[in-house]
Amino acid sequence: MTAVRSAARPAPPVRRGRGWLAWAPVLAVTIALLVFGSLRTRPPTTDAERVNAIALLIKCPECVSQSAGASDAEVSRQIRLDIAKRMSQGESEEQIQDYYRGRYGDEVLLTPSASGIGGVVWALPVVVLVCAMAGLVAAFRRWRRTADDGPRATSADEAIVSRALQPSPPDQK
Amino acid sequence: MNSAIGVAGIVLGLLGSICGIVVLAIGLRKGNAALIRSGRSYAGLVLAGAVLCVVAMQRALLTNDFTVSFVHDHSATTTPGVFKVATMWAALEGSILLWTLILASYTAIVAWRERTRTDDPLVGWALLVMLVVCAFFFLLLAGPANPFGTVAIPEGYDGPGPNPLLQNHVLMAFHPPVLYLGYVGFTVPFAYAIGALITGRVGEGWLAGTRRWTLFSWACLTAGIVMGAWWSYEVLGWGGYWAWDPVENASLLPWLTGTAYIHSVMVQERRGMLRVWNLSLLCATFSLTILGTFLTRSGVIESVHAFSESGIGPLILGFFTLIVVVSVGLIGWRGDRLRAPGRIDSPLSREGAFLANNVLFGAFAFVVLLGTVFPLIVEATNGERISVGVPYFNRMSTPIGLTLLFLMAVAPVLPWRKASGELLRHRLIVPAWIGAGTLAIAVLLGATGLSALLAFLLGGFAAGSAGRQLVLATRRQGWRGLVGRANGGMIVHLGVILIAVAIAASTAYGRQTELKLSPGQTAEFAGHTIVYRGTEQRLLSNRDVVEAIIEIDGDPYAPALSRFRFGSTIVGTPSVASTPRQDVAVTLLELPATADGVVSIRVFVQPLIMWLWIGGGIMVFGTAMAIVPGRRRNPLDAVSAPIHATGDTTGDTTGDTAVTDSDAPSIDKAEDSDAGDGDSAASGVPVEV
Amino acid sequence: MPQHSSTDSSSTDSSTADPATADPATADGADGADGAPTRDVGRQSARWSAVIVGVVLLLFIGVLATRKPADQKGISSPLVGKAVPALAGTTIDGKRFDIDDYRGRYVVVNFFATWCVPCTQEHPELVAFQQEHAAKGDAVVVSVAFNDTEENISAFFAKNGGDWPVIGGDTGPTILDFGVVKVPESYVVAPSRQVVAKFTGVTQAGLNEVLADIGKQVSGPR
Repeated sequence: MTAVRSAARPAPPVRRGRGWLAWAPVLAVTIALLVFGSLRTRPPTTDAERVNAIALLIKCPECVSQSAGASDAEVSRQIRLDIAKRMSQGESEEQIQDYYRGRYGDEVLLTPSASGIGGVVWALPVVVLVCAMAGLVAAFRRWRRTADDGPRATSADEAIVSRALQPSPPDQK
Repeated sequence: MNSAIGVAGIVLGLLGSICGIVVLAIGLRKGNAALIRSGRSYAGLVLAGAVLCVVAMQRALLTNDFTVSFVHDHSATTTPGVFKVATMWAALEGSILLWTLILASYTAIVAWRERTRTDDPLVGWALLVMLVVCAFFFLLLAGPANPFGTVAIPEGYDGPGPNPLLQNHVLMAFHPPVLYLGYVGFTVPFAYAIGALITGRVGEGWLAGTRRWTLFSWACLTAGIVMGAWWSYEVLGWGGYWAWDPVENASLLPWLTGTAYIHSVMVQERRGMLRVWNLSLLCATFSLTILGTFLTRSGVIESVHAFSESGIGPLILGFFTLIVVVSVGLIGWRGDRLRAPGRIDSPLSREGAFLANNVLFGAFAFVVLLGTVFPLIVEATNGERISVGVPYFNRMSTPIGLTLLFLMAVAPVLPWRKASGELLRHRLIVPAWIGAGTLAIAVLLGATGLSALLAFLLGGFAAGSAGRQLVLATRRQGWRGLVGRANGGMIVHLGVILIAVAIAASTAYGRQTELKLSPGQTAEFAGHTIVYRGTEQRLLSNRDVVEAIIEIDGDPYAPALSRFRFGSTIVGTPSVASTPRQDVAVTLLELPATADGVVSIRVFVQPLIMWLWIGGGIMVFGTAMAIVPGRRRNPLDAVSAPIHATGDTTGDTTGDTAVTDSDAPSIDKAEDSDAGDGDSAASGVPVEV
Repeated sequence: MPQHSSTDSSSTDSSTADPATADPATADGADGADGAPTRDVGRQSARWSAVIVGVVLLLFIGVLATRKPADQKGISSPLVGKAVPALAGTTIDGKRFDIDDYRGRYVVVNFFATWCVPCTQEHPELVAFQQEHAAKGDAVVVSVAFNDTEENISAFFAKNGGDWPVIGGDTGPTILDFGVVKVPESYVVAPSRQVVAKFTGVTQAGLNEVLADIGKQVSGPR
């Protein structure tokens, strides 16, 4: 019969007006930590890791849905060696990607380009999300307009409710 | 012999389902209760057919009956016993067979559970829909996916064995069946949804009846996906667990819409709203399982896990079209008249949070689907070939995931109907401190990068919020504070948070390197000392294994390359050591040419990987807790909705509940008390059957 | 059946104002005939959403239905139609090879590996092609080995025949320059130094067909 004692404990009083004051320290701490954590320098990475970061953006031509960084296929290892060579020659990430696009086609880049038809895959989810949000806003507007149609609680109703909310006598069952 | 039994099973199942469909259709059309009632016995025939097929297949596999085409193509005498059983789902035809068996079992269970109300048109229609799906899968087995062809074999023939990657880890024996239990399980609520649309009875009764199916299927799907990720991590050796591969996405899609449904259905049970939307989500979930089947089995999309291509594609696509036309058509035809009255008072309320949840999960599913099929769409548009890969999915899912974490922190403390900002500030202050504390610990441990830091902050915030609800509930109800939907749901949230934090940490701080070492040579990487000792060869029944003996910080690792006897495929096996703090994984890239030559290995060091699997376990446990009936409410307790027919609380085998929603806003004030909201979601369904 | 009377239509919908749910029998037959007042009279958002979603999905199904299986898609290469990349190196018999020395002739650049089974299968076709054109002097074959040792390459050619320059050693950059995905692959270079075709698995007849096509295009417009 653990259920019974739960019936209705009075709600702890909500301290009015002081809500935001209590939040000031936690917000300050959080923002400070976020700024500090995201601005401080990252631990140094090795050349191999920088090479791999670029290889992860290039599709392994031989395999399916694996990047040249993740796959153990021979051609992927050649690509990693090649990227390392190009980086040591001072080529930028874009130059390296352009080279591979020229040799293997657009398909070799795992990130669809933001221009041209590839842009659709980036833009469409945003459009859909905005439409969904707009739909929700419109729905809430409509609900607010119809808010007055429903039955209203009278003071008699509220009296019934407050009576019902009194702690029930122990052991109903 | 086995072929004959198997074919007999297919014929039995196909005829059983077709006869059942015809009898039920006539019965429902004429309103003939006796006919409708007899419909359920056909479900038994269908189950018998499926069981017969599976028994024949397993018998053929275990006795190496190579005259059966499936065994001929995919098994070998040298395959170890447990993998012989698992060979059934290691290739296309057998996987359809497994699907059919699970589907037939579900159909039979529905027919049996509903035996007392089979003359109810809603149940009749649901059973009819399930039999149509059964008939389709038996049709696949009878046609393009027939595993029981007969083959003449030469003396002493031995088969090739299953795909080497699939006989490399024991998880393969469990991952597909569990995943299919989830996929197929969504057929049941879908069937009821179609039944509800046809009969026009979109009230909440059928929801309560299918609630456990949905939760059970969802738990299985969750477990199946997590197991798949685990298998990928332990077997494929690329250091990751999720590659956004089309097949993985195909399993994630129904999970996303299913998750959206599980949340939004609470609004319907509680408030009687969103009826048509919930039906749409169920239809979408089921359609996506069939679409996933098409994508993985038709060969239109390249994937690591895709089944070998076959003529099965057009049939599945046709079935998908049928489902889409029927679902969309029914919703369009009836949707406007079935819409429930009522309104959602405020965006800042439990209902509002569920709506936001649905928008986010819907957007997530849309992103995953779009990314998966976008190369096909581009190719159809202008013939160009492009790829949409990991960078796209990661970039798109990160903001959605972070927003969901934030929502997960705020939503549980929101009362129904309407909340004030003050109430929120009061209830969320402790969770916010927990989030800030988590962030502080992460920063102290050296965490950098905004998105990972946000994940830790919001993860802690959400965990604090879920923990708060659980603490309040257990303080009030003892151990019962851990069961029931709302409380079980909070446990699931904790599991999700663990997974989110583990994903954030392993993605942001995982490191890897390639090393070339000669015997005795030492290398340093990410604070670990790596020594290569030499190689060892082992001969197993179905493969030759060469292991490289590596020591990392004194612990032995043995990444291996296996050459399977058939087809000379070489498969790598990574060696992984897990600790709660971090995982170290080693894969062997290249064997040394000579005994004292140079070995080429890859080393992955990734934090918190273990928590992915633990989080998955907690999610499944939480769902189990949610299925356990929550506290039986004292009829005189204050709840927002008056309970009609309180006599029903003793339980009622029909699965009907007396859930109502009488728009009575003022009564809801009870909810705003802090103690009253812990199980308020569960109170919407006072009767748990 | 006592249970029947307590099913959802009676117990759950009694409080709603929606006529369609109140009586399933009439709702089934009377499409559009319910004039009872509901809150959302005249709004047909579900119908319109369904129409839009349905059209989008049918288009999507159309796309899926017209796709060929991934492994039956034609081979393509951005290199076709472009000038051939630089190809020079030391052959396994120690001579110098430079594709620029073969200006004015067709060059078939073949990428292979001794451990690759399809390479062994296509090899006789290349041998036949080379023998046919050695006499005419209008086309040559050059092979580039992929990740292979010189002993293996020599043994491969000794066993399978063929007598043309083979470039071994570190061919990685060459392989990426040509955009090789997986051996075997062959590129046909026209006398104009333009890459005109790419093959994965080559036949004598297929190569001759390309040569004839290009010959026609060159002589045609004149």
